[in-house]
Amino acid sequence: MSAVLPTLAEAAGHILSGQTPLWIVVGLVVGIFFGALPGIGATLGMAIVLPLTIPLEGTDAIILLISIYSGAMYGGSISAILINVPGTAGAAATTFDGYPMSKRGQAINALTTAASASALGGFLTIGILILISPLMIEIVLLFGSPHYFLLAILGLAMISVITKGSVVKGLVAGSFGLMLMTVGIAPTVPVQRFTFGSTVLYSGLSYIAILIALFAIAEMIRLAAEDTIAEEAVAMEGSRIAGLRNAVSHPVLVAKSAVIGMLVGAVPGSGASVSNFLSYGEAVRSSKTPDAFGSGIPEGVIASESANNGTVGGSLVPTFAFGIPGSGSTAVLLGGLIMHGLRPGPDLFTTQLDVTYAVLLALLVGSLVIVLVGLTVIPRAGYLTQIDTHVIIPAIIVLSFLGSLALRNNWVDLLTVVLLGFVGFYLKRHEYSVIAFVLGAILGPIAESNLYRSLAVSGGSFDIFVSDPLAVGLLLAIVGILLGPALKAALTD
Amino acid sequence: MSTAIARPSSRVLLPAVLLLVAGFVFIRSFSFGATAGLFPRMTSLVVIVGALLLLIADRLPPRLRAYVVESAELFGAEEDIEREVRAGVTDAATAQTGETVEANWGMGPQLFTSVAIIGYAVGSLLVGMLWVSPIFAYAYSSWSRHSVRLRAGLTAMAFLLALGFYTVLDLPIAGGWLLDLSGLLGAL
Repeated sequence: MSAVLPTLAEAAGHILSGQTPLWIVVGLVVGIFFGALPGIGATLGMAIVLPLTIPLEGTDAIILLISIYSGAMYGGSISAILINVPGTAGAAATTFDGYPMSKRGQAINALTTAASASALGGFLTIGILILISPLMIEIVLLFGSPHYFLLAILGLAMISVITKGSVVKGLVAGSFGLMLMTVGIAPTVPVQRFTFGSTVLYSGLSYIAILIALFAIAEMIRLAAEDTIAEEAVAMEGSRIAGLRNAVSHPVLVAKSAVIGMLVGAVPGSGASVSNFLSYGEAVRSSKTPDAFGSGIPEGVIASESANNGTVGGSLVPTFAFGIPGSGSTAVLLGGLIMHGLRPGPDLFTTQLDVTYAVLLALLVGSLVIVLVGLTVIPRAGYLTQIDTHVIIPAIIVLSFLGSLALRNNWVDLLTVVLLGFVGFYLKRHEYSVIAFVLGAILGPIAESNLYRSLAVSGGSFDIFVSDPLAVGLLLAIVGILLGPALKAALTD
Repeated sequence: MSTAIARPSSRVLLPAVLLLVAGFVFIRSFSFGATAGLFPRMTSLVVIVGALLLLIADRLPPRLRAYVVESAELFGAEEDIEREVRAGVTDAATAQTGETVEANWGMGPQLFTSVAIIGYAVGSLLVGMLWVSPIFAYAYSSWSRHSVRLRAGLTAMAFLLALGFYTVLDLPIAGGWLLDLSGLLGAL
């Protein structure tokens, strides 16, 4: 704890100085914008902004990305409340009570309730994370190279099992991502692999280009078949103060929902889209008037919105500690960490602890900004939900193309974006997990380095992966997770 | 949802392509030596086995087939719910407007978007992204039957974005393999 307080103070100094406050605000506003557009959301927004962070200092870049994530979680509630279509999957449960509130002439109440609940939920979970961070440091320091290799496999296994599609499809997608990253010079020995003698392939494929391909280009091809949400906007009526009071007067509901969000966020593969339903269900279950839910009561909005912003904090735990992202958004965040030379794992909890704390504190400050934006700007920004999809598509494709070239000024990245964009479209269509694919691409170099490092330590023996209880536990977890669906089916029969 | 570019055969074609690529990687991995070849060999082997299982899924025993093809859905997956939400977006839009996006220029929306993306990429490589970006935006906007004002706005936005990348990040996007039009900027 003695090392924690000075580092916290250092991190606080960082986020309040230089351009960092600007990046927090920019990230939140961009995130709210992307979140409010149905079908766009945090992952796509973060993916196209990622290459633009190249000129930024590492901590500022991550703060910008995490602010987009946090802003989008709130932004998703805007279209959920105003047109009954959630901007992000994490705001799906917000429609149940948010839209009926709007129809009753309480659109502003609902929007400010959502803003306040989002902010309070985010604030609370980040506070908890800062408090338990010394314990996380102890746990992370137990892990070495063999464990990190096994963790990468465990992360892929979990994503494969949890996400839509069969386990085999998930494993194929994840392994294909791992395999693609073997193009280029091998990490430990100077051997060219699959370069076909071309210098442009020496440094391999860019995982960021892969990420843009799967999250932006594939999404735009899919989105092209969808139309504008032309629903008539509801009247922007109601009271800001009443909305703020709604959230503040339900502290237990806010806290419970935020903690549910945080816990769900910490499980890879189950992000805000799961937590908002779980939290809403718990709010209904524990309410004295469960029948009132769905008719337009603030409690429904509070439960969903506290949970989805709580998920942001929770998802940082496996991402920062073990390099296992819990969702598409945290996969992009992980890509950003690595791109800026910040390796998930022990370093982010020892020598680079100030970065971790700066990100957490930025989320705390961001929570306050969400309240301010929610109280002032959003009640006038209903037009966000009326933007034509076919205006967004060319803008995002142009940004994706430019961003792919900005990465390394290598035309291979542009080809990667186009080719894998189409592959990603078909992967989604046939229910292969694109998150597993992206995770494989991001974790590929890390997993391979840890594999070789472990084998170098053991003299080439694979016994190192069963040499201590932690490694054995991880191995058993991988086997258990992969066989889980088969066992479940056998038990059901 | 349009099926313009996704024919039923892509269900088989996709694992077949993955199998081919992984097969190539597996065979070539033996030429890299024991250390550098280990990881590509391991990963490609998983892809080969998985893709083969997916290709022959219909001939597998029912229990194994279920494991290979059916969703585990242990928690109610994130991607699953996202897809449902998006399906809701389409449904809501269709219900409101009573129609989906009209196919212009004789092409469905996904086919047009795909062709436009390929054209944009090829054009960027040949004459430079700076010049092709506004053309792409204009073509897409025209196909979408946007108003003249919106077309002009999107075209200008695409050019300004590309110009921003060109000037701020010093990207060489004013010329391509076929033509170098960077001199045009000076003239402009």
